[in-house]
Amino acid sequence: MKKPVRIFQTVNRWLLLILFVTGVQQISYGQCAQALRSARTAYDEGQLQRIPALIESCLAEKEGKGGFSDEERTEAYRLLILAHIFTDEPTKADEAMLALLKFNPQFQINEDADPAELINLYGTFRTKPVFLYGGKIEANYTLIDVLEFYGLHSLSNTNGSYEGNVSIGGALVIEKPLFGKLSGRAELAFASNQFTYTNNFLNDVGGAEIAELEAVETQNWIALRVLGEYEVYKNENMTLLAAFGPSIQYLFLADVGAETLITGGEPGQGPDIDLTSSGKDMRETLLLGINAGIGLKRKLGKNYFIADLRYSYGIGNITKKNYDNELNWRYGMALNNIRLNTLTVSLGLIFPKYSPKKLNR
Amino acid sequence: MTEVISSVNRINDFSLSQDGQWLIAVTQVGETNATGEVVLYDLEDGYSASVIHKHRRALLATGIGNDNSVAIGDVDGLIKVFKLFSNDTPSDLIGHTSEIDQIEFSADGRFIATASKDKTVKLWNRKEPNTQPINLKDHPTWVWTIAFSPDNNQILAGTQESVVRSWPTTIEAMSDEICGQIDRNLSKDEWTLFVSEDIEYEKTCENIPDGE
Repeated sequence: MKKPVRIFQTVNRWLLLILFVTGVQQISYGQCAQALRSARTAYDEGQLQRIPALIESCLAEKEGKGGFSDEERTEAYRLLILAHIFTDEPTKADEAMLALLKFNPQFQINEDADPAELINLYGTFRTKPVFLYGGKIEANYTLIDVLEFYGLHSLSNTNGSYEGNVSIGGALVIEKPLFGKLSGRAELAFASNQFTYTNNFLNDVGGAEIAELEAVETQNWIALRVLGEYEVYKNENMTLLAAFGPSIQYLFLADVGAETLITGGEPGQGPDIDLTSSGKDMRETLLLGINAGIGLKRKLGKNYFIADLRYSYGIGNITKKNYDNELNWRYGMALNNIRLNTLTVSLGLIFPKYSPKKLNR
Repeated sequence: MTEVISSVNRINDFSLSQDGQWLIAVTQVGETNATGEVVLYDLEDGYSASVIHKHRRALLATGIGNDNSVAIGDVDGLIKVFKLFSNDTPSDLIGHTSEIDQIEFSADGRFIATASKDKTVKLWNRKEPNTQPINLKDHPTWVWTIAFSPDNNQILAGTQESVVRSWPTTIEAMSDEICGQIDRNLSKDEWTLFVSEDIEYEKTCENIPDGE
C-alpha cells in the first residue's frame, strides 16, 4: 500500500521542480523585458551610460535559457551598439556589433530610420553570407539538333524527327557572393535527358519491311556547372538573377528502347540496348555545354527558396559511332549525329552560412 | 603639425581662453564608472598641465567665458561653474537629466548655454545663477551642438535628426517673433499670472492692442 504514495510523492517533487524552473525562467524573461524597456527609455532620454549596465547581464544569459527572447536580444544589442557609438567607444561598439551579427547574422539595418553612425558601422562588417549551400529538383526538357542523319535505308526518303521528353533530376548547389552584384554558383547535378526518335521508311530487315520506328533514349549524366550570377533586380525579400556559365557532364548511362512496325506484321519490341556498354560505346561520354538563364531567389525564413529557368547548349556531336549490329538488325536503326540541348526548370532551397567579421578598410 | 598635448586620459572637450594663454580640457578617467578631471594647460609654459578639479563622473563638455569663468558638464547632466584661479566654491547648475554635449558662453556675458541629450538647450542667466534657466525644449531628439549668433540675439541648436533650430535670446528678439503672430497684448491679470505681480505691467508689443 505504500508504493502508490511514494510514486505520488516523487511525481509531486518533479512537478514542483519543473514549476520552480519554469517560474524562475519566467521571472528572468520578465526582468529582462523590463530591463530592455528601461534601456529603450534611457536611450531616448540620452542617458547612454546607463544602457550597458541595464542589459549586459541579460545578454550574458545563454540563448534560450532565460534572458531575452530572440527579438529582444537583437534590439538589446542594437541599443548597446548605439550607446557605445554615441559615447565614443568604437572598440566596444565593434565588439557589440560582432556579437549581434554572430547571434543574428541576418540583422538588417533600416536605411531610413537608423542613425547614420549605425549604418556606417554596419557597413564596416562582413554581413553577407560567405557561401550558401543546398539542393534543388530539376525538370529537364530535351531539345535535339540533328547534325547529320544516318540510316540503313535511302536517306533521301527519310522522315526522321526528334521530340523531347521531360525527365527529372536533382542538383547540389553551392553559391558564393563575390563582389557587388555578382556571385558564383557551382552545381553538381544528376541530370537525365530523354528523347524520342521516330522515323518512317522502308527497309528490308531479314525479309520483313520496317515501316515505322519509334525509339526512346534515356541518358543519365553527372554534370558539373559553374555559373556567374548577376543581380538584375533586388528588393527586401526577392532577388532576380541572370546566370551564365559553362558545364561539363559525364554520361554514365544511355539506354535505348525501340518499337518497330513491320508492314503486314505485328509490332516488334525488343530489349533495351545500352549504348554506353563497353562493346558498343556509341555515345560520347563527356559533353561540354554553355548555360544561360534567369533565376529567382526568395527569402524563406532564414533560408532562400530558389527557382531557375535555364537553357543548356550542348557543344558538339554526342554520337561516337553511328552503326551497331544489334541496333541495325533488331530495329533497322542507326544513330544520327546530334547535339543535345536542355531546357531546365528547377526548384530548391539554399541555406546561408555566415561568418561575420570586421572588414579591413 | 606639432603634437602639443598627450594625455593618458581621454579628452572629451576643450576650450581656449580669450587671451589664448589657457587651455581647459575635460577628461574621462577609466572606463566603467569613469570619473572626470579638469586639466589646465598653460600654453605660454610649453603646455604644462595641472589638474585643477576632480569630478566624480566623466566630464564631456566645457566652455570658457571672456572673464575666464569655466563651465564643465558631466554624463549625468550636471554643470559646474567656477572662475579660474579663484578659491570660490564652484556653483552647480542643476536641470539637465542627460549627458551634456556642449557648453557655450555668450560673448556679451549674459548667458551660459548648455546642450544636452535630454533634448533641451538651457540658457543660464549668469547674473542670477540661482534662477531657473530658460528651457528651450522643443527638440524631438538629442541636442548635439549649439552656437550663439555674433550679436548674441539668437542661439542655434543642432539636433540628432540633422535639423538646426534658431531661438531668440533677448526680449526684443522674442517679441519680434511673437508680435507678428498675436493680435493683443497680455491682460493685467494674465501678466500677474504668467509674469509676476512684482513686475510692473508693460505692453510687450507696442503696435497691437492692450489685452484689456
